[in-house]
Amino acid sequence: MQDKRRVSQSRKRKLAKVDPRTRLSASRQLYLVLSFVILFVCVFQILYLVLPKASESKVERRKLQSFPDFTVERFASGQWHREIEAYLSDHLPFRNFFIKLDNRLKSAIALPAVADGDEEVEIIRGERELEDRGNQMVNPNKPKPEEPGAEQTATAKETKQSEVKGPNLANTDGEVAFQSYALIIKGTQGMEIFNYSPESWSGYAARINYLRSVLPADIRVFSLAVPTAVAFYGPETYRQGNYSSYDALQQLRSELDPQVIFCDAYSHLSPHSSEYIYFRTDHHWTGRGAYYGYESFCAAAGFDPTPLEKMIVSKSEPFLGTIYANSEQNQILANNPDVCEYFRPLHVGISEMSQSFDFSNSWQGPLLDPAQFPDYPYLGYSGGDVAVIRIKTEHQPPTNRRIGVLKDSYGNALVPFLMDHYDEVYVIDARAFDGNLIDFISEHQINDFLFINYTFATSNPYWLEGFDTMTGYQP
Amino acid sequence: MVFASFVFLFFFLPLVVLGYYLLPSIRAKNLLLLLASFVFYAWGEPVWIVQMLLSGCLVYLSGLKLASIRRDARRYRKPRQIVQRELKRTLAIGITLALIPLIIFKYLNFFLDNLGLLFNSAWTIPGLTLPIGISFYTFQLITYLVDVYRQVTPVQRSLADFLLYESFFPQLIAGPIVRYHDIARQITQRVHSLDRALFGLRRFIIGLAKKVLIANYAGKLVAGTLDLKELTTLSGLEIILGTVAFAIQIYFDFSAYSDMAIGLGQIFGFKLLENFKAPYRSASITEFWRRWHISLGSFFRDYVYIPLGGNRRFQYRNLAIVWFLTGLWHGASWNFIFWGLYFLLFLLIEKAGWLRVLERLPRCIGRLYTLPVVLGGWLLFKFTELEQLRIVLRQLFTAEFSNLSAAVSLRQYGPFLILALILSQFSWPEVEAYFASRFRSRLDFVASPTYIFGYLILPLILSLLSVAALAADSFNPFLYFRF
Repeated sequence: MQDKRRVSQSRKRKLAKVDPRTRLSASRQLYLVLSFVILFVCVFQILYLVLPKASESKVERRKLQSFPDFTVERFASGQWHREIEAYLSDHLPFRNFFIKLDNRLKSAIALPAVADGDEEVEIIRGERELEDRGNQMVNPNKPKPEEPGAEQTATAKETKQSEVKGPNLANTDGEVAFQSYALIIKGTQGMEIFNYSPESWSGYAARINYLRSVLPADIRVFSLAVPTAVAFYGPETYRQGNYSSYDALQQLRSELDPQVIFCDAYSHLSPHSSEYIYFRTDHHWTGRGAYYGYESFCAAAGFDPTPLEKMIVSKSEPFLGTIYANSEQNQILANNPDVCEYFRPLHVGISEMSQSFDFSNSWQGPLLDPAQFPDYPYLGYSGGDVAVIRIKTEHQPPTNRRIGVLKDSYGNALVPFLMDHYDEVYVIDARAFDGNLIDFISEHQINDFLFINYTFATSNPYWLEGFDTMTGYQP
Repeated sequence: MVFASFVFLFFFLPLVVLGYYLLPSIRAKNLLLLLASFVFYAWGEPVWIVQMLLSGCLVYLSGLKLASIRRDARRYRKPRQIVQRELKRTLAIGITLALIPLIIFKYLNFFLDNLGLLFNSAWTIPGLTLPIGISFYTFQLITYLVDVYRQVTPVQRSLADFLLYESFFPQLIAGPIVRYHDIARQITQRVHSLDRALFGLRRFIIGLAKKVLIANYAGKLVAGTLDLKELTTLSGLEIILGTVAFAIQIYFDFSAYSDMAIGLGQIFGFKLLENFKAPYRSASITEFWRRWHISLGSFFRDYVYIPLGGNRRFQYRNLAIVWFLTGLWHGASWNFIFWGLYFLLFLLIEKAGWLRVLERLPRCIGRLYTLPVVLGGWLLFKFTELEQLRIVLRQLFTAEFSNLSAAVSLRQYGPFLILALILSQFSWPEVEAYFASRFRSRLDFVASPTYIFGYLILPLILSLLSVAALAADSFNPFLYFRF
């Protein structure tokens, strides 16, 4: 073995050797690489500190993680560490550039799209967190197990067990409910695959029947269940059997109490499927689709629907919706943005919104006006999630009718059409409402009560839980 | 903490490396590494560090006890038999103390579940979660005790150095199982140089890219096929794609951790042994297990198989025990045990003569036999519920072969899977060795025209792409049920 001095001399000689192409000595080349490494790391560190931090992501439509507060218990439970990681992920310098880069790379190594019929089909799968009562939850890294092999599978199993599928989430104590989803993009139409679960539809029907049973007989109860785009535009495989929205709606119809009036939205939407009744990049129906839903309600309630041609139309700016956001920035959807059409009924009232059932601290809400919502004009129909909305219209002579609507977001687009038939329209959100529904209905002398839900709502545990809390229903 | 995270890549690692190279003496450097390892482990799991330290201290004390028995034996000239008995007892106690936490946290509920099935009741202890890394560090502690017992290495008197061996953050969580004698001398004697450190950094980047660009992406296909709740909707092609994707995911994920561990070790002057050698190139199951998770195989060979008698006494019993334990080590569930025994079956068949036949045939025949066997093994490995496996196999053989979902997955992942399979045929050390063979030393390579490409351009591109993939993972649209 060479002695230390000889080793270092031979090493010195090698370090002095010059690379013919770069004309730098070996030791200079080492330092060159080292400087790049230091530069790369330091640039990111500096940018992390220096760049202004956005508070929310427009595309993902969520609040970005802010720097977490330090408390001993959050530190001890590991929560603080997870939030730091979320903070660093959310505020990575050039984050959007990197996300685009990754998407481009992935599409670059994929084959051209598959066709179903004469349209190209794309299926995108993912997992999303279910949000609880409108609170922005911390967006933790998905529980990714650390050890490969063994612990990976074991921990993954533990994680999957904490994925809650049904209601009773209130006691999960900070655990996040995950739901897996699959999107289909067929041609230019984006939609989500619907999974038909008969048990959840029975639960939904039972709740409507329950409300029917506790309300006085002179109040009419309606159920308007709306299928999503996949029911009309999806590939054959995804419209039948376990994926059939039609079967789900038929089951609902058969399990509803005969005193509950069923509104057949499906039959009213179906003949118009070639019209713009569903958004391409968003999971909602359009104003036009909502009109046909309104038509089905009128047929059930014995009203004459205001003809569409009599309504003045205004349009929003183009926008990209929820399906686009979940689609890993799919190019086809990006190139085919949606537009909201606002149809003005003959009697447009004034909307009052409040986060409390007693209308305390109320404010005026939007009606058919997207001005407040440039990024998401769908909210311009009648606003977003608030506990209660009261729309007062001016009918001469008054109709002496008031309607209560319990809805999810599909109802937002339909509610304005009701202004032509009622003096007052009450809109209640199941997740945010903080009072007792039965008392509310009698206090405001509501004559008709309408459930508007789209087919995915029956599997939303937060909506169901909200209903149970406000009515005292025991599943 | 996780290697593939921004806190590690941009903050933890740079600070530790900076501090490491600023500190003058090996003692100081080791102390820094020890503290850094504690921070690394405690990050996100602050409670379990106590368990790791406790196990470590108990084994450290057992090691000291072994040394003191020998010292007393010399001083008091005790008869050999008594000394041997005392040594064996201490060894047994030490190993048991080390294994107890592993058994309790990982296997107790499994054991109780099975007892419960026998006696028709449900016994479980709720709230038992698995401390991260316990399977790895427990085995490392055992190698230490056995090495001291066998006098392969001297006892480690410095608690700090010993804990550094146990908790060294590059290999603590998922790294190769480092046998004590492989690293004992390096704790106090190792060489640092810029070229070695950059060498290690590049290895780390290769590992990071393998995990984040390949393993995680393959994992997405697995999530869309084998992880579905409704397995009955899967077509045959989807199952095949999912299995191949799982095979890719698990190899690239696991070998990436080893790459990152070895690379990080090199940055700090340590030379760790290779853990994977292109296992999907194997032409027999025997060869597969010499290329896959080598450190686990070595552990079982040196510390279980040979002590039990090896191939000299009760060979078949020993093999059965080793493969039962190999399966069990991977997880507390029957499917893992069956997975171990599945390979035992093929190993026995090969031992019985099939291997000799394979050696006479061209290698590709052996590979055509090995790969499907390994893929089948992964199916067994994947599903902890027997029912799920049954459904998947039924779908594979009776359901339609291709459907819309399969066609879409094929188009999205097909080229990726092929590329990944091709990459899996190479092991990075072989690539490096190939280039190194043209030069007399690493420094000669540094002065060559290919250096800037191999050391600057390629790692830079991979780093950017890895950061991009990590960023995309954080993209979490959060609005579906917002209203």
